[in-house]
Amino acid sequence: MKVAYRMNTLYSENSLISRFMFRLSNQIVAYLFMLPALLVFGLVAWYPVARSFQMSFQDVSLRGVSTWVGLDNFELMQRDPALDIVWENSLEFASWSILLGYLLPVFLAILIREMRIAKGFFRIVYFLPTVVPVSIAIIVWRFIYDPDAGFLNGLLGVFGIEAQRWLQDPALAKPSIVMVMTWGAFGTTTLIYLSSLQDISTELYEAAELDGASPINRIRHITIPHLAPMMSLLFVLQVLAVVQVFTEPFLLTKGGPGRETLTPVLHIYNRAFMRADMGYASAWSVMLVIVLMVFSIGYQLVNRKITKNQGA
Amino acid sequence: MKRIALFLIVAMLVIASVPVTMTSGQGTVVPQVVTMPEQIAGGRDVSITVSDKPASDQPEELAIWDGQVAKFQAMYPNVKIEGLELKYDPTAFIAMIAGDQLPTIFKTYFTEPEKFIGQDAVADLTPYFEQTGLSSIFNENVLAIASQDGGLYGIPDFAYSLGLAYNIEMLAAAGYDAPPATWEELAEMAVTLTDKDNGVAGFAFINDGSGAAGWHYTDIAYGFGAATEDIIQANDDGTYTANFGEGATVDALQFIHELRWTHDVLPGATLDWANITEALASERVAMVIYAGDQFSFMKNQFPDADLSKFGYAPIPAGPNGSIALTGGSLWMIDSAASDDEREAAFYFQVWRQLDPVEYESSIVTQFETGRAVGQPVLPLYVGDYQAKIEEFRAQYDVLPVENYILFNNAVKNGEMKLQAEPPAKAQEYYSELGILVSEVLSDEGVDPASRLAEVEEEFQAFVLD
Repeated sequence: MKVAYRMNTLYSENSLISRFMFRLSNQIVAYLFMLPALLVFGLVAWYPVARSFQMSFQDVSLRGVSTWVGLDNFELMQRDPALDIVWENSLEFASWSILLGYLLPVFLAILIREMRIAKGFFRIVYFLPTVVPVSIAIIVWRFIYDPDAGFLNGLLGVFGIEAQRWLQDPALAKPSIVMVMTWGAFGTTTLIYLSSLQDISTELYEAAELDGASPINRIRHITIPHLAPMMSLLFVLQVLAVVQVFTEPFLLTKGGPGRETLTPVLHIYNRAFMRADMGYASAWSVMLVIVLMVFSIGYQLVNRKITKNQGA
Repeated sequence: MKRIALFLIVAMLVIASVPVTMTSGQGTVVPQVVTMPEQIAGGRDVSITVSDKPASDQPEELAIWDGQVAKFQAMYPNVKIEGLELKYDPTAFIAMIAGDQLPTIFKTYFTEPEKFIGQDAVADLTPYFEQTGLSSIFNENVLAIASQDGGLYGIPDFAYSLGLAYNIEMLAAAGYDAPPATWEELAEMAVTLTDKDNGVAGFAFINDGSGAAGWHYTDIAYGFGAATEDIIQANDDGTYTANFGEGATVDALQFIHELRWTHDVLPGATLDWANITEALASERVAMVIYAGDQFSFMKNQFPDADLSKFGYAPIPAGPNGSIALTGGSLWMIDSAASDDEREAAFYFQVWRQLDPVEYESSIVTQFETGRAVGQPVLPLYVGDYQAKIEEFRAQYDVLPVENYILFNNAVKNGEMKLQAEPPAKAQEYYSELGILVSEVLSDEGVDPASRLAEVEEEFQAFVLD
């Protein structure tokens, strides 16, 4: 029956159309089920993206008629005193977050995996910060970082170390914010790594143990190679998330001291909502998308090349 | 007999201690300045929405609101008023403009008119002001904030200026019986008052890098001798030139640099509009640049704070004398509102704000509910009307107004000059300077003169050109 159908349709003149019609009639119910979700997604995700792209070429009047201004918003961006600083900040934030936050969940996941007792307890302990709402956590961190009466300086004082201005010192503000971000996010990442570790067959470890491999060797030759694809994916996601960071600097430093912790999204927020300059803010959003896209594609290419070389 | 005499004495004391409450039946102290029309919207049905309706956790305020709405609707049965428990929030209101969802009439801050007018989001109320003649009773400095290009876009309902709040006991303990009169004196006193070991700073202003920080800095710059045109100058051809890269503005920034890095009298913490009050109330700072209405915030947010400990004086003087920037709030009407809606909204607001009975009963309720009556703010109106409302309000002062005499007298006698805003892009200028102030406070190596010149150049290219 299948063969007969294929023979009939494959060589007919309207083969493509009839195939399409057949598939459509076959799957129409599925598409109908998807339609509400597609509509909502289109309306709340893709429509704003398209509008934002359109607005980046306009002088936007929220009430009146927006006028097309060509590349004016992008030219204005070149004169923006924040332009270079914001991207330098993003790079520094990303570097700090990789340094402080990238390997920590891997390390913790392996540690928990190797534990013989209280595994469940530690899983919960490390995940707990994730359930605290960011705004509440930030109030607590503000107390911790307070330069005059903060917990952290109090702790340092016990050891005779001078009080630091965690969020007010240009040298400390970024790592201090990255600490807050890492604290809030590492629980989820640890769980992702842990679940990935569950997939490794225990036979591999048993065989390695029988061959006399030390725990370090087991981690090096079994665990890490197994986690590598996940680590690669999470690396990209982490960089994307850090470059788009908003809440922590918005609530802790408002981008200061000076512009030390001003991020692209915070700058976009300020222009859009404090200055009501939607066109210019949209131009920044478009630039942010382009930068992140270029990074993601570049990373994928490099990664593919490395994997290919390893395969060869 | 003795008991009756005692009862009478106690009763008399109680009566004497309760301020005389004026009601409509007994006549009012405050004169009637608004003539309400016989009909609103020609008697056609009209519905309006009004922001800032008190929430249900403020039963007394809500009762006043409900009473006012009922009364107004009884006076004008064709008008329907819907209150919204919505307070101004820049982010939400931008979305509301875009979505045509603004309330018919809403309350916002003095910093915002430029933004709303620029977006064609608010109605020109000039015809209504002309019709009622009300512009003549408002303080013209305050009306100027709601005006642009000859149009009048808002009904101011509250105005304050910056001043210097100080902890009387801390100053007395350091041997000072009066707050500083000049910026030099302030620096000297701050050195004495600072006690870093106990986390006490001698002096503070908003230092969070926001526009408010730029605003406080600019007030110091005016005191150091800057004029408006030394900040941003309006040229004859309609363009603007940034001029803040040299002169008194540099001196003021240098002064801040010295307060931080030479004298070390400023707090380490980041202080914004809200937590500068916390620093003052918890005695972590002795003197702060402060807005008079923040004493209300202190009273409401820190019920344990003893407000009698704090005095309020004019901003210290420089070569130009004592100069203060102003702030406050005003009501604006949605430009999408029809003429009928605009008329109903305008009259509802001016009636509940200016009608003697409404004004007096709102003061009485504030007094009875322990709200902060008597905060040292600016006269919103002029002439007899202002004198009369002050006279009425004085009976109900809850705050220690005797501590604010220096400030109030300076305002009354014109010793403190109220400074107008720069002619264009004032809020953008404050934002940029706020960032620079934060930079100066966080990095000793920043040279105020050269950085200010750079920022001036950037501001000219990015904002003004």
